[in-house]
Amino acid sequence: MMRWRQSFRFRIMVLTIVLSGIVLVAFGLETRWAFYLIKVSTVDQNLRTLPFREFPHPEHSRGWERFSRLTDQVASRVFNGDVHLHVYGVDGKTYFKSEYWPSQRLLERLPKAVGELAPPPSPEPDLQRQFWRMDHRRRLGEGANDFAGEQERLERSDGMLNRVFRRGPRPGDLGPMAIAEPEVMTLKSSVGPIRLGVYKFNGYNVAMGVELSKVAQEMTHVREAFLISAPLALIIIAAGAWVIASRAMRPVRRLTEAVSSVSVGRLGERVQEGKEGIEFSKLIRVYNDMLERLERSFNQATRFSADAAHELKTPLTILQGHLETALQEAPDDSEQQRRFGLLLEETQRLRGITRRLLLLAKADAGQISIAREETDFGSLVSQSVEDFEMQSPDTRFEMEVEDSLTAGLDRSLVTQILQNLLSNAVKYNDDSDPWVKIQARGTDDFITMEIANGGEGIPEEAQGRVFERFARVDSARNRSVDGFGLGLNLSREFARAHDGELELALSEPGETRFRLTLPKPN
Amino acid sequence: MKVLLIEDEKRISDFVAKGLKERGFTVDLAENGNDGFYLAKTQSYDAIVLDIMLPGRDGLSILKGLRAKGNNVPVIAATARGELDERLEGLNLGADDYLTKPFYVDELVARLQALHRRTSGSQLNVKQVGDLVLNMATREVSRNDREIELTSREFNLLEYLMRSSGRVYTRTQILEHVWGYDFDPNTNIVDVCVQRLRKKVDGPDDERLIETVRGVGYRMKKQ
Repeated sequence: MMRWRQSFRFRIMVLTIVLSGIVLVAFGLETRWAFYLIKVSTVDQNLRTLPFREFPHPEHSRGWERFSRLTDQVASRVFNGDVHLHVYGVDGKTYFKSEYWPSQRLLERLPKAVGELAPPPSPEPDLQRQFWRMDHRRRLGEGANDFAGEQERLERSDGMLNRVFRRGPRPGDLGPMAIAEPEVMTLKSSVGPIRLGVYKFNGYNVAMGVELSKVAQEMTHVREAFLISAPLALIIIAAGAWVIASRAMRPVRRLTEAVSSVSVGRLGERVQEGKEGIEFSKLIRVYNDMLERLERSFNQATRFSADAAHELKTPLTILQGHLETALQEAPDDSEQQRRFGLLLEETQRLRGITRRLLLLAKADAGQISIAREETDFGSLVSQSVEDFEMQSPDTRFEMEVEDSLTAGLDRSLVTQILQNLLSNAVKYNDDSDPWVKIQARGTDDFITMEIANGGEGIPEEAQGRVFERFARVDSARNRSVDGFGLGLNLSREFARAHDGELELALSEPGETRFRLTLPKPN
Repeated sequence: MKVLLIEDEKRISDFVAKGLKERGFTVDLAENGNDGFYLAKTQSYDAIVLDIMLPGRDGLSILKGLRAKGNNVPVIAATARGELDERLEGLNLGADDYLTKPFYVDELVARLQALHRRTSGSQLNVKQVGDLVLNMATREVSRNDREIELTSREFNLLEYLMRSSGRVYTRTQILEHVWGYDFDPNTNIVDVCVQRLRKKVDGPDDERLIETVRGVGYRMKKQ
């Protein structure tokens, strides 16, 4: 899990999901709100226009029943529900209340009517009813042409109507009987919120309500659609983000591969600039430049070591040759002879160092050349072991070497690996009971040898460094014991020149074990 | 045996020529490639010791020129380079043997003698110091008709010491030649092996042939 969390791609994906999620939710809420507003305004619109289709006289209860049925019919189409109707006076007197009016409490919260008390029952109810209708049509701007006759009648009756509602007119009104715009509000009731339009006129109130729960049902559909589509969208976005991030990371991955494939022998390689975009091109260029500098200085260093080693060879040859001659000419058992002997030995040591330096330079340049010849690995092992048995008679040597471990190997290099491993095994062994155990096995493709010895083992903090150049596990150990600190490093280089490997398999108090693997070339 | 030494570095040719002469070779010296090539063409030699890096005509070119003219004189190429590919190149061009600098004159002598044996067809594979006889072909050693069983290391050590009786070899020299050791400067093994060899070679009643030169190394008793 931790690895996942550290993945750049994963983080990009999560970030994208979070951002998209926020946007989606905000969008969803906004849409829902807008949808709600549209719905409510539709309701309002209908509440405003419904009454004008049929509007009976306030006290004409049968007329209200008819009106109620009519609006119910219309409402069932428009709102998918009933219209609750309540006609009441300013004193709270109820003239009409539809069957499903939700609650009494709702009544208390309804606004009181403005205007005057209801007029006495009209002497001409038909005429008055007609007026309601006419006024409605006039307000809607219709019927002027279609109902020219009625218009005339309306005009004719103006005087009478004025008489009937003479106390009603207010200045600026369309006419004395005009119905003011309803007051629209949302009130809570026992069946949920109700959208109400309350008409006030002349002491009467007509409250028409629609249950918003019917609207809410439609909202539920919207919400469900959103709840299904949003996660789907998020999944698609996540997948998209993953793909895009992966694509974006491709050049980085390519660079990573290229960088990890850079080894000493392949410093000359460069990463190809692709079509990934300028950001990555720049990175690749910078990396290539760095590689270039690295290669140059590395080559210089390598060439320097190689040149130095070469340059040393001629003076060494001279020194060695003359010392040899001098040694042979010196009188027997003389001080001179011993001195020349000593000098010759030191010259030979110098020569050894020079040779190693040259080998290291070659190893660094990846140029250790190996001359493979068909070699019996087992006999190389036993030969080397014999030497060390001779040298260290106190050490117990155990050998488990399979027969016929034959492969194309560079005899000289492999011998040097074996000698180095054996000499380490003998040197860093248990003081009281030294032992060395060698196991060599072969498969079709590999020869594997493990060489173990006793002793206190390599300290844990030093285990990673044993193959480093000039590494000495215990710096207090003296030179003659430790060679030049190059043995394991060079041995590993030799093994690798064979495409093999030399590694520390185990080191603990009581046992240290190295493993050498050499592939059998086809 | 007449040898042409083509070597520009005087301080090297000095001791090489001297060493060869001491061992009974006749040595002509050429200090550059052109002289060397001229001498090689005009004179008759049993062998040529050829430095590869030379002023004037370089060693590989001399070798090529000689072989192109059908001159089959044995050539030992000597160089400070010693890279494998160069060695192969030298051998492909017709060098009979190869020596990497720095080398010991002893080694050169041994190679020259081996070359001579090979080209002259002589079977001088037996070395003798006093009553000790070593047969390089059969790898048998005997003293006073007593067969001596030796391990391969012991045999190589004895053979090396017997190359030139009376000559002192240091431990490192022996280690390098007999064991081919490069890593380990510990020469203890030489002492151990010499003790063993001594026990086998020098019987209780025999003259001690393997001598210790105090502070230096070992040698075969001079005849």
